[in-house]
Amino acid sequence: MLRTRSSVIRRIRDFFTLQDYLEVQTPVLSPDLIPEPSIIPFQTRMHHPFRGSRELYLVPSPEVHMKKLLSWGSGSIFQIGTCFRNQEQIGHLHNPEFTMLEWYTMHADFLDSLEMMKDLLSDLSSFDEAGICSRDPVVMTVSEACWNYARFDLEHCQDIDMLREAVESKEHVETEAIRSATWEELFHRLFLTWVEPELPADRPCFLTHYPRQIDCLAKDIPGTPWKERWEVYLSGRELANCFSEEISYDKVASYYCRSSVELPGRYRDLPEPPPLVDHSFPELYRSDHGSCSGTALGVDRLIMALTGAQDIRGVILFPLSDIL
Amino acid sequence: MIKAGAIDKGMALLIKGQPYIVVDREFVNPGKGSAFARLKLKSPQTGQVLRETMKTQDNVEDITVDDRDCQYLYFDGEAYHFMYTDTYEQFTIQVEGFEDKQYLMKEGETFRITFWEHTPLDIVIPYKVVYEVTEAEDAIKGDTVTGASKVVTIETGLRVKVPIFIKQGERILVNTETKEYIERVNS
Repeated sequence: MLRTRSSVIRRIRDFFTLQDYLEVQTPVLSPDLIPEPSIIPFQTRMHHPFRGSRELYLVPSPEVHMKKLLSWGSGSIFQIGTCFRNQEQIGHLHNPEFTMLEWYTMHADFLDSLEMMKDLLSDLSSFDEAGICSRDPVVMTVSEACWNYARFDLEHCQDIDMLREAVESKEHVETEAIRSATWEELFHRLFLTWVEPELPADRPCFLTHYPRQIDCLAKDIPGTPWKERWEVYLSGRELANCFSEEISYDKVASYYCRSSVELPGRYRDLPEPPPLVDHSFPELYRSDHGSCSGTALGVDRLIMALTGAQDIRGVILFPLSDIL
Repeated sequence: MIKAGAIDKGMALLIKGQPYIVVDREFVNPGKGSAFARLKLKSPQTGQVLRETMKTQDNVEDITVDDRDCQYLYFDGEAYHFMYTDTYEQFTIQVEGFEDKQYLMKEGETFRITFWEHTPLDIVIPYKVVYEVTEAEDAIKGDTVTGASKVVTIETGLRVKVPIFIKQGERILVNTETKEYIERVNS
């Protein structure tokens, strides 16, 4: 496994380097983060011998620093680095510390990145012991997947009451949770129960055009309820997530505003305060910012899919699996 | 009440007033959005399996259950007959919802049974159990292909795929979840 892992990572590095992407290494320890209510970071404190102390965070993704480099004119870049997520369950698909491949392509959109992802998978075919990654992928929209596997018309459920009705017709649990759930929560209840487990597992499966009501920094597709976003599944597991990156200052700033408002609520039951927010981030988009597409891919899960490993503990060294 | 994020396999939950056993649970963190627990729940009364996804922050009604050791006496075709090992009182559990247990329980053995207000929710079968092979065809002489297998019947009536060298009267260790052969046991 050690050798396969090392060879796969070297091959990924060659794949991007040969296409003139610049490999970068950005900080793992950061003084502030972008507000993401669904991600709880690891917090630590830096102590200065004379100037007191302050919070620092282990980054849940290298996004902020990489986007800063893009706005400074780096051109297309990639990074294979360590990321950390707290409060996620430790298990066969999750380790609190994991390896992320993140790449940004200038003057490209999510569909260009989709082709790039297909090329990357085919470039890794010599490692494909499980015979899944190198098969012809399936590409469908989220809306098609919802219809194909759950007979659920997502396009007509953009209204929260209609979506709630769809959930209630399928689910058996009648709880306060459904009545008070947001659109995003209701969508995921349906999607994770009825759609995701049915996705083809014998080949790569791309789901494109995610609903706009799942708030994120992907571009909206005008006149539709969708965003320029895809995810790819390998062996039924979510592997990578890609956006055409939002570059309008107003839209980035308003996302920032919405997420910052949500953040304290997420920390109500937690001992630590919400992380400090990097307020300078939206400013990157004040000046002209070329269009770009970004993809984040879980390298450990990729190696699982290539080798056929069922447990992330089989592809990483010294997993934190049994400490709790 | 417990948070859905604290649910574990084997726990008992109350859903619309009915008890369910958690037979599978997986945590899912979508690319963007909240964290969820994806559950497979089984009704001990009907055997019905529910699939549910809940936010890990959602509250779920869990129920306090009572585990008791009970000796399995026999199966009459419709119900299992048991006896509490402490009071020697006998009782029955209807087969519905517990159909697969008849091929895993040996008469006379003691099992832990999970009760909720006198309703049996689960008969806990150990993960690995030793069974005697009661019917096995002899291996064909000269068949030395590595990995060759055959199907034998064990004392509970369950048919298990085993390596070709297993003979009638031998004892084998079986994974009771997958119902697969693990190894031969030398007594």
